[in-house]
Amino acid sequence: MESKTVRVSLLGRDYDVPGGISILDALAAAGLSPEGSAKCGSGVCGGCAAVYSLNGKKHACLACRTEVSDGMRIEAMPGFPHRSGRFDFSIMAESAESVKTVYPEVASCIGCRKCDHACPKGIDVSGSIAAINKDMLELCFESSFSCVVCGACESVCPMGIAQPSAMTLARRLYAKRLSEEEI
Amino acid sequence: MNMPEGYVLSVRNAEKNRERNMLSIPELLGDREKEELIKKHHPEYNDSLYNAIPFGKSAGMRVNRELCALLIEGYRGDNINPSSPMPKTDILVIGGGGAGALAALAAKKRGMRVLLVTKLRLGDSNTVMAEGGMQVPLGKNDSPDKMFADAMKGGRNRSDAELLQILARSARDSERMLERLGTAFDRDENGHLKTVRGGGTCESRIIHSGDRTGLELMRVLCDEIRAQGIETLEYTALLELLLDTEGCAAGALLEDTLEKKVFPIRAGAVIIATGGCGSLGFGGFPTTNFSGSTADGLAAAYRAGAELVDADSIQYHPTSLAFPKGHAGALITEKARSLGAALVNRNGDAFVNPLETRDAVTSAILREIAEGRGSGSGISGFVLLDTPMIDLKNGKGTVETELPNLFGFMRELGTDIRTEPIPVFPAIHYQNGGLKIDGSCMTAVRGLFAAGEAVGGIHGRNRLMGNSLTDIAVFGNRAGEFASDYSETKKDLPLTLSHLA
Repeated sequence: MESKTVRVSLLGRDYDVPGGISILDALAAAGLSPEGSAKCGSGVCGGCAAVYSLNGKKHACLACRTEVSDGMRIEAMPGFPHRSGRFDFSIMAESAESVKTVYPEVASCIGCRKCDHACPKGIDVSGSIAAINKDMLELCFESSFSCVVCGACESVCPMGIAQPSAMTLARRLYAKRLSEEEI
Repeated sequence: MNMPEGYVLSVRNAEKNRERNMLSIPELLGDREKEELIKKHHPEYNDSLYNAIPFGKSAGMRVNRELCALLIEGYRGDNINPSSPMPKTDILVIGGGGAGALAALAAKKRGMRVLLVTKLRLGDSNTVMAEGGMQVPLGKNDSPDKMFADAMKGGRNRSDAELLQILARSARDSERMLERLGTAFDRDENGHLKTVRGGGTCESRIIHSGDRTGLELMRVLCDEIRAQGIETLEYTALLELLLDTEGCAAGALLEDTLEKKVFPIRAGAVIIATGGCGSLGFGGFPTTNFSGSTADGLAAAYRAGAELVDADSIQYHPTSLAFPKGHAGALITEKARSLGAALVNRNGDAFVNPLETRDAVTSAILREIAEGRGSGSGISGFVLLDTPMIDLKNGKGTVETELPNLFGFMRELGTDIRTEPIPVFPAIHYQNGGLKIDGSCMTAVRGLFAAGEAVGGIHGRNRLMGNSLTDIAVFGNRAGEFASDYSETKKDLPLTLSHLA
């Protein structure tokens, strides 16, 4: 199996890297990966969320799961600070109200959908937040389930919503409710 | 994706024999046959990969060469003055995966001051990558005794019976604890937990969350750690443990890897939850592991005087993705085999029962390749996991519903697993052995507790699918509780670094 070289732009500079490797491996090959950085290689740890442009279009991706192509301009995003509230889960009512109490900012969503475009998993983030606002925990659970908590959405939200934490809490409450309903 | 030579031919043979293979499944091996297969082909019996540990409580025990070197290495920098004032906590948890998180939560619940340190981020661990699920003896016909018997047999009768009893008997309570924390396990239309059957088990008892159970678990645990305000230091690595003048674990020497600063911390008790060793890359094999799995805690604990058990026993997951090389070692969950996918060689023949224990399946795959019935050779060889059988056996749509992560991942690489088999090869997956503990999770060093993959004795010489998540749920929690008991009555004594001399 031959592997040709491809030219990519990493963090503003051009590099020739082996073809057929992931963006994350390309960063390492170019000496741009800090030693001992988080890498699961499976797309579940959320540590490699990145943005690249190709043929004039911008894409959000997980760098460990995306193959380099010729002409890619890659802006990798290092891990995001994770914002999350303090609460006692064991005494919370299993409703969307609880989520809105811990994360009142969800009500200020303006529907700009920047979060949707930033999500490397293609999740309907704005829809999941809307579900919380509309007291539809189950819908939030279903639509946000594949989240890997990378924080890309949160980093671009103009209203300061901590979507990963809000969606996680919503899912936890729904799951707890389901476990109590077992016949 | 460019397929290596041999893939197309073996796929054609697999297709030709698919119907036959679906009906005629190889028998499970008898005990003698299995022992012989493993002795002949499993890397565990390849002496060239091992060295004897030259010092310490387990001197003379053989371990993989790379691990042996790590045990000897240790911190060589400036030592801290052990009598200078330093920050103190009650319970120091080292490791931010499932076992560490649960230990921290248990200790916090007991009112302890807890500090959790992790050399990467909270949640970066092998736990987050676990896919198949968690064993819980739920079914009408199931019981902790059956779960115990399966695990004891699967571990080749080398498990510590007391620890394994604890695992089997505490599994249900642990599962309920996780549900109370809001962990979403898959349920059927009546709200009952769905289960699958793993290799080496007599009952279907593995509960799961899609095919990424570990991700769901860590999302919940990390959220809870933050919700409770448990102090966490990320990018903080363990260098050495600190002992007091009575030889009890009393803290650690840590390094902030971002600021490059070394600092000591005193603790009433220390819990090692640093996971496995797959990233040490034994024998050139690929690994399914997270990048940080380098046995840090095991090595530091050993140098502090802990004992090891079965530390030479490494589980190779039989089915990791063989290519493309950039993804070599990516885990292909055993659940695919639970759902009926067969393992097939280049001639299209099924050569082992898919639900044999992992040590047997790994050995069988390596045998096929060594004897010329695999594609390729040596570490670059592969056999096929015939996933097209899954929808044929269980109905159209099964792959997408039950293996969404695998389906999506392979599709991104250009393979539709509903109609195309996956090329697989064994990868280093799990550290079966490790630090020896008693029923209270304490090691041979007083005040030094351990839980999770870093621990040995529970799974004997081979862990069954689903028992690792049960292990961290049961013993992570247990370590937090017993460490709290110990710390409550522990008096502070002067510290010493003499064990590092």
